[in-house]
Amino acid sequence: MNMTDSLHILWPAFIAGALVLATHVPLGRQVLKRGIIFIDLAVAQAAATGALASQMLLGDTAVIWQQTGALVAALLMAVSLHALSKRHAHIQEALIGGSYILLTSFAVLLVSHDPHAGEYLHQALSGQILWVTPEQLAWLAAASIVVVALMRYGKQELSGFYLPLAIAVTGAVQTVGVYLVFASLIFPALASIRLVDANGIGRGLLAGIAGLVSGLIISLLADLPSGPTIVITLAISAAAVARSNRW
Amino acid sequence: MKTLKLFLATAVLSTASLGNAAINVFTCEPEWAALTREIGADRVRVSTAISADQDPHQVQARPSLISAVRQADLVFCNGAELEIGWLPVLLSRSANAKVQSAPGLLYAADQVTLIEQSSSADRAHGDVHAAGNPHVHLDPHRIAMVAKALTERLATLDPQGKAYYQQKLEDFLQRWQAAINKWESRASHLKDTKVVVHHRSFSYLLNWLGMHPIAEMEPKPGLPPTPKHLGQILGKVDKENIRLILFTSFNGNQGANWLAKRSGACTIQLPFSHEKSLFALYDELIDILVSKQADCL
Repeated sequence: MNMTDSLHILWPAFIAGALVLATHVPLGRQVLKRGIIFIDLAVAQAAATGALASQMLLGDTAVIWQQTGALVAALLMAVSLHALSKRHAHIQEALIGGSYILLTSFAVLLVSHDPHAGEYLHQALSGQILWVTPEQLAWLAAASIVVVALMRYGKQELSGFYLPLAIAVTGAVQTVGVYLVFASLIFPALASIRLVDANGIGRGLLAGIAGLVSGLIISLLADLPSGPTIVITLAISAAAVARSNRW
Repeated sequence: MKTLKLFLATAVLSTASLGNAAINVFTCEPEWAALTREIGADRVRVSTAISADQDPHQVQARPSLISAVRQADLVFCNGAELEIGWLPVLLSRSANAKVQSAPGLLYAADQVTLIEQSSSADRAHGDVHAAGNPHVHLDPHRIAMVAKALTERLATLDPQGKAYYQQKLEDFLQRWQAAINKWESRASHLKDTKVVVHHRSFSYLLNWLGMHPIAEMEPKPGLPPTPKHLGQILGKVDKENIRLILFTSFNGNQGANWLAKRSGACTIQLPFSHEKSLFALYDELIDILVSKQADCL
């Protein structure tokens, strides 16, 4: 494989991964501090179920309506998880896990009479970072800008954390897949959890970008599926950065 | 690191040994790779997206896939919506103008008539592919038709090799017809045998051999069957005294085992494709069916 070929293959994946990291590193630090790490799975599943529901209700519709359905469902999920967190803070993780399996089962029942059921269920959560199109990159970039602006100017818990999280996860899961979203959220944040925001976000991004780049290169050289490879290199680079923080 | 080096070494070797091929062919499934090697032989360099025991519906994105499509002169896939989940993205990501449509893009299913075509009313009841059952490589007569279409296409793309491809085709068809006769006589006892299938993966094979699928374990792939559906299958198996349950590796054996336990029928795992040769695939299919039938009845 020559150099231009390799670049052609890897650059959209790199940009997608970097955009996801830009929003997920600061969000991940919040998630860890609140101790609700499975919130992204619940939000991602809400988005997937929302997309399926709009597809079932409106028939074979344009992608834009599926995306609207996904976003609306994810935002509703964020609002209700926020409301629950006020009243039941001590059992919040259990409620999040519970909503995840409820939504998953609901999605299975929703499509159980559709011949393409299995494909839809699989599709909704399994974006593949290598197959990112320029169009998806544009959407992802727009979503990232909204997310960063909300985190920056949102004063309340809802507008500064829950809503941007819903938007970020909805966009990212469809482009890079649920495992890579989870890894981008958790590993860089773990690497920098003991640092204050000013240093911590930078350290987290460093760990994230190092994991992303090395994962892409290894997957190119060894011809491995890129998503899972990056998950593993993200974990390794996060561990390395966490170690170097202690010295 | 050692594995990586080994990997790179083999990758370099396998490219080097095929230096003077005229055209690059990217195939989606191993059965079409095997057919391309039969017809194109020394004039083609063949790469494949998936291995024989992988589910053609789902493919993980690897960098080499995009690279292979970028370098291809011909993309030869099954079609009939089988690769709809990944091939369109792969083609567009490759940005290779030659293979976006004919003559650089060839679908096997478009060269033959499909069985199990359905109206929209049937679709709601579990027909996954509206165009018809896509798994045409399990009918040897259809393989012969696809071989002819492939030969024409190779000649269009590489006119200098026309006589070469034609001669390879004639040679292949001769051996293939002899093999079909052999398989049909070996499998003559299988005629009119009733079976349960996991999904409609083997419809063409069963049609060819005159066997009858009476029920399907998982009519919608990836979605577990309902209790009512399982009840109906059990009822049919008992009533019609069905002895054989067919499935393939990517179906998983859970459903087949469940039914076998409750009904006393035998499960049979059949290969769905073969890395090297179509002859070997059919040899295996017929061997397994004939020997299992003898064991079970």
